[in-house]
Amino acid sequence: MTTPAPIADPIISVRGLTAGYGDVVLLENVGFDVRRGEVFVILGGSGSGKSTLLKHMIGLLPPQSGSVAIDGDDIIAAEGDARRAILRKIGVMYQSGALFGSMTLAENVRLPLEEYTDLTSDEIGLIARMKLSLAGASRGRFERLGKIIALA
Amino acid sequence: MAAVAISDATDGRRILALSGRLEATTIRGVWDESRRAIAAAPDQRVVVDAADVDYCDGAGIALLVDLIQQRKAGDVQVANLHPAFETLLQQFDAQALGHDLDPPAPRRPAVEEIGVITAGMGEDLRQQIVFIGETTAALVYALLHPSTIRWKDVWRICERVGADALPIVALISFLLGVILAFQSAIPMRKFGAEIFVADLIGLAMLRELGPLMTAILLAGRSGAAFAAEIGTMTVNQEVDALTTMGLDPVRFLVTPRIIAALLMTPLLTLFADLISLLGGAMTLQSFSIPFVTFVHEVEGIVNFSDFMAGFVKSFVFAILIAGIGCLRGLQTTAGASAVGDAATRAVVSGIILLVVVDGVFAVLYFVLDI
Repeated sequence: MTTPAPIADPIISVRGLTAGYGDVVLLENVGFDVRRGEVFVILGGSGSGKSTLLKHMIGLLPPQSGSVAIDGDDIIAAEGDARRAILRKIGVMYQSGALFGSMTLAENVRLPLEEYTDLTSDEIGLIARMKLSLAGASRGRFERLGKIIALA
Repeated sequence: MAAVAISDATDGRRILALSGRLEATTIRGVWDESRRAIAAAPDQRVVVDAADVDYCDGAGIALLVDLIQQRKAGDVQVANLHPAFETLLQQFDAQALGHDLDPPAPRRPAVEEIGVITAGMGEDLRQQIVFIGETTAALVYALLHPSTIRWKDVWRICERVGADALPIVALISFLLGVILAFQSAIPMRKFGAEIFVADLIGLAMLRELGPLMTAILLAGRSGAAFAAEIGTMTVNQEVDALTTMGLDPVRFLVTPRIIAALLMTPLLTLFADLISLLGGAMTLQSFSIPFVTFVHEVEGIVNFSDFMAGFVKSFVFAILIAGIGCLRGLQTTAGASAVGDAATRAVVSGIILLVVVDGVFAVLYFVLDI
């Protein structure tokens, strides 16, 4: 028997989100909370707006109205460094993996560490080797590495 | 196999008894025969008896739907169909299936069409202005903070834009010098003025053709490559991934490419100038003008401002080629042909922009008396 997780403040809070493309409104007045530790599933038919909703939740698209708060900070209203700080709290595993095809797997792992930390090249190298070993060497390594980077 | 047995009942109804497996590969003959049987009895109600149908795929259901459609509603009935297949048949409204599979795109009135095209151009212009603003901001930031530039990427792109382009630039420039010299030397020989071909080649190549031809070559080669690379990254959601990592795609993707183009295009232009002069000099040797005389003549006519007139343009061309290539890549939409379209648009709009800007330079130099 598992103990239910205590109710926590929402880590993601969507309020009154209305979004679409051009004149087409795909999502209207959508609102929900996702709490820390909660597994939250968005189900819907093809073209129902699941990807559109996710793109708005991670700040890739601006909504027509409404707000999306990540850990209490509105990702839509934030700009510049404040926005980057919010984005750094988000890990996204894309359907296509979204690793950078022009880089080696090791460079894919090193990139966020080089950009966001003041670790030395040796330290970054060690972390990269650890993550690469987690991804394994067989088929599917690319996808697994995408998950590892998204979760890190 | 599928079969149909046709009979007339005592109550006047025509019975089409279908049997066997109604599949796409087996129903061709049955379909024709059933249609003919229905057409041959226009005054009789028809019952399609499916009691002996063992199997029915989508094509079999289509056959039943088609037979029902042969008459007005209710005149053709399907009976004794297995419940599993009946469920399939009920999925389709026979009357709603008459639509054209590939309807022609609705034609807009001319005024609306002009409006849509204008709106599209306006949107494209808006995106270009936004892009120019973002790129300028990123370049200024890079200049003020050189350590933030991804130099490793810059050198890699420099190699592809510059070193890898040397053979094609050399070939085209050499041939351009040869052709220009040959075509002008023949008529000028009639007046004993072959020596002035050197002046023509020197001025034309250094002021105009050297920078322009190099830029056009790079637009076709590197501009398209930039659009395809970034377009593929867009399609593969890599640009989205950059954004969600908090990294600015313009700083990460556009800035290194523009810096690389800015470093390489002027060098390639210099190289093209020299090679085209070499081509011209070699051609004029066959017109009895020695190499030394050619060089002396070019030195006499081409001054520093002529050289700089062409050289300055190459920097502007570099920004245009790289900028338009990156913009088209970032504008890439979804679909199998999207990356190809982005590369095509990069080349077409890049070359148009180059020629327009070259024209602007020509007017500017005329006004400034350069």
